[in-house]
Amino acid sequence: MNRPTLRGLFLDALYQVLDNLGFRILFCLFLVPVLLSFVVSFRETSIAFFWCWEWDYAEFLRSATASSGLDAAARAEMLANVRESLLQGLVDVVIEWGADRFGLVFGIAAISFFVPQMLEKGAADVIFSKPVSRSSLFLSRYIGGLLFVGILSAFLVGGITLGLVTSSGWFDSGLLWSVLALMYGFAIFHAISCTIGVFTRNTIGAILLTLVFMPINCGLHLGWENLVTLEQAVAGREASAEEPQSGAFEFLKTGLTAYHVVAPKTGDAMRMARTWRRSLETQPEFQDSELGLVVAQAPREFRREPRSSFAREGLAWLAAHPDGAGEASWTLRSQALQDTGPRSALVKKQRKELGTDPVRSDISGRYADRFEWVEDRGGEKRLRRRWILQVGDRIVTLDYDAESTWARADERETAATAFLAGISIESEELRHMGAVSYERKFGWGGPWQFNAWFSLGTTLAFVAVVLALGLWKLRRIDF
Amino acid sequence: MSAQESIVSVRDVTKVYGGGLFGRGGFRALDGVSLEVGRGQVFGLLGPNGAGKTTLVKILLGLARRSGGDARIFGQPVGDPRARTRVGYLPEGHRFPGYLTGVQMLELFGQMCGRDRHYLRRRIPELLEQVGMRDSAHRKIREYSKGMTQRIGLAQAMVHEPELVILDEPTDGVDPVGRAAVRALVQGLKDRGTTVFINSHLLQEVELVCDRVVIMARGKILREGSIAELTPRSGRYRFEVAPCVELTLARLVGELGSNFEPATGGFEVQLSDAELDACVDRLRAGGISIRGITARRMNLEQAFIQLVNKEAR
Repeated sequence: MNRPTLRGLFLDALYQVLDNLGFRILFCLFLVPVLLSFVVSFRETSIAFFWCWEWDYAEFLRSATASSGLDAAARAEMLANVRESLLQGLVDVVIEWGADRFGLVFGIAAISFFVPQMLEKGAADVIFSKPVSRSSLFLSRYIGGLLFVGILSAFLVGGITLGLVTSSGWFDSGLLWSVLALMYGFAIFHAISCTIGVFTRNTIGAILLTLVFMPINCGLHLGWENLVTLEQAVAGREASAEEPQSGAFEFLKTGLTAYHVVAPKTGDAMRMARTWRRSLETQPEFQDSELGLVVAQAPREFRREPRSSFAREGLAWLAAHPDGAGEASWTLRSQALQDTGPRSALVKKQRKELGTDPVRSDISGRYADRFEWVEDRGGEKRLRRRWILQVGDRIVTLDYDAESTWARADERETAATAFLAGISIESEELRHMGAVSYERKFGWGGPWQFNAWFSLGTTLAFVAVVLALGLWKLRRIDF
Repeated sequence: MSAQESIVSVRDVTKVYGGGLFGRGGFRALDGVSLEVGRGQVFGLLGPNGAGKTTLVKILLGLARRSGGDARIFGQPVGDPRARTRVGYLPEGHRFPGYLTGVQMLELFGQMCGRDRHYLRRRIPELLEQVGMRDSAHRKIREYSKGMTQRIGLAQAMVHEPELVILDEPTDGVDPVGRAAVRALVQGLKDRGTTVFINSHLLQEVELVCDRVVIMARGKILREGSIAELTPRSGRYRFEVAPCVELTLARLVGELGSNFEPATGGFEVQLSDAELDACVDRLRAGGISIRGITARRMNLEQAFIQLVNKEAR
C-alpha cells in the first residue's frame, strides 16, 4: 500500500470517527470530569470549587469521626491521607468505572457499525472496487475503531491529568498508564466486533454479540482466577489432608483452564499497567510480604541504618542533630506473639513501667496504643514515643527516640504524621487470600498461569486469529 | 482487434451462485461469457434484468469471484488490486460515505487510487466543474439529492484519470439535462482515448454513445457488434421526391409494397429488394423526380426486444 492510500484511509477513519454520534456523546460526557478537574482544586487542607468556595478537610473529618472516639493524633494521621484518598478515589471512579466499563461498552456500541456499514450493498461496491486489498480496508476499519477510543482516552486521561496538575498540583503516573490498559481492552473487543460484523453484515448483530461476549468472557476468567486462588488457599491450609477432587470439579477446572489459556484476558490489562508502573516507579522504603507491611518512605531527614533488620533487633532510621550533638531514631520491630505475650499484657506492662496511659491511635486503619513519655538519660531529656499493634500472630512496635528539643514541635509532628501515613498493613484475610491470589501472583516472571507475557501473548494471538477469521470471511464475500 | 489492444479480456467466464458442496446445483449467473474491449472504445453491455451484466462487471472489478474461465483487465487477473489502479467505476445503487463532503470523498478515492495531494488539488476542482458540482462540493454527501450523488459518483470514477471507466447505469436518477451532460462526459472521455464500459438499461443512451455493444440474456452473450451491425435494416424505405400529387404516388407505388405512408416531401413504404428497383422504375416512368432514398433501420431498442424475445421463445 502506498503513502497516499495510507493517508487516505487514515483520514477516512478519522472523519468517520469525528462524524460519529456516539463519539460526540462520549466526548461531551468525558468533558465533564475533565472540566471538573480544572475547577475543583484539591489543596493541602481543603477543597476549593471555582477557586473561591473552600471546604476544609478537617471540618469534614471532625464531623465524620465525631462518634468514633479517635484522638487528635489519629485524626491528624487520617487528615494527611484525605487528599490522596479523595484524589485516588475520584480517579479510580472516572477511569475504572467511567472509561473502562461504561466507555468500553458505549464505545463498542458506537463503532460496531464500521464494518457492517462498509459491507452494505452499494457501499461495498464503491469501496472494494478501489485498488486496495480487502485486508487493508478491513484493518483500516479496525484501526479506525482504535483511533476512536485512543482519541477519547487521551482526551479524558490527558485532560484530567492536566487539570489535576494545574489546579491541585497532583500527578499520578497510573492515570497515564490507564490509557494503555483501556486501549488494550478495547482492541480485543473491537477485533471481535469487526469479525462478527463481517460474518453477520449487521450492526445490531455485531453490537449484541460483542456485548454478550464481554461479560461471559470476564465471568469465565474470574471463575478460573477464583478457582485457582481457592484451590491454592485450601492446599496451603490443609496440606496434609488432601482429598481426591470430584469428577465434576475436575471437568470444571479443566474447562475453565482451557478457556483461560485460549480466550483474551482483558482483565489483565490493568494488572499489566500496574506492574509496568511499579517497575518504573520508585520502590517503597521497605516492605514485608509476610506481614503485608509497606513503609512508603523513610522519616523526613532520617536515613535507614543498613545493618538493622526488621526480623531481629528492628529496622532503624537514624538522623544526626544539625549541630552534631546527639542523634534521633525511628525503630520498627516485629516480634512473635508467643515471645511477647498478648498485646493487652504488653500494654499493661508498659503502662505500669511508664506510669502513663496510652492513647488510642491508628496505623493504616489498625488499632494501635500510643505511649508518649520523656526519659532522663544521663541528664539528657529525651522524647520517647511507642506505638504497639498486633498484626496476625506478630506484635509490631514503632519507637521514636530523640532529644526533646531536637526539632520544633510542629515540624516533628508533621514529619511523624507523614511517616506514619506512609505505613500500610494489609488485613489478615486479604493477606491470606492475596498471597495465593491471581492479582498478587501476576507478574512478568511468574509461572505460566500468572505470567504477564503468557497473558499478553495468548491474548494477542487470540486477536490475530479473530481478525484473520474476519479477513478469511471477507475475502470470500461476493458483493 | 489484436490481443495487445485489448483492455478487457473475458474468456469463457462462468459464475454459479449458491452452489452446494462440490459445486453442484446453484444459480448459473454467467455461462461461458467471452468478450474483448479494445482501447478507446465506448462499449455497451445490454441485457434484461437477471442477464448477468452486473455479475460480469463485479467479476471484472474483483467484487465477485468467477467460478470458471479467465478474466483480465490490462492483462492482469481481475482479482489483483493493481489491475484496478487504472479503472474508474460508478456502480448502480451506490452508497457513498455520508460522513464525507464531496471534496473529501474525491480526495479519499483519489488517494486510494494512488494519487497524491498535489495531483488531487489540481484535479478535483476541474472535475467538480465538469460534473457541475462546484457549488456543493463542501456539503456532506448525505445532504445530496439523487442527481447530485450520481454526478459526484461520476466524478469519483474519473478522479484519478483512469484508462478504463466502467459505468453502471450512469444516468440513473439524472434529469434530461443531466443525461445530456453525462453523454458529453462520455464523449469527452472517448475523445481523450479513455475506454468506457457502459452497463445501462437506457438503450437510447447506449445507441447514442457506444461504438460496440454486447447483448446478454440468461448469462450468455446473444449478439455482439457495432450499433449498425446490431440494428438490421427494417425493409422500410423513405423516398424524397419532387412535389407532386399524393394520389399519383399512391397509385404508382401503393400496389408494389405495403404500409404506404405519405410523408412531408415524399413517402415511406415497406419494400423487398426487388420491389425497390421496380418502385424506382415506376416513379421515374411516371415522371416523378427522386431526390433521395433512405433505408430505414431498426433502432437498438427494437433490435434488443426482438432478440431477447426470440431468446425467450
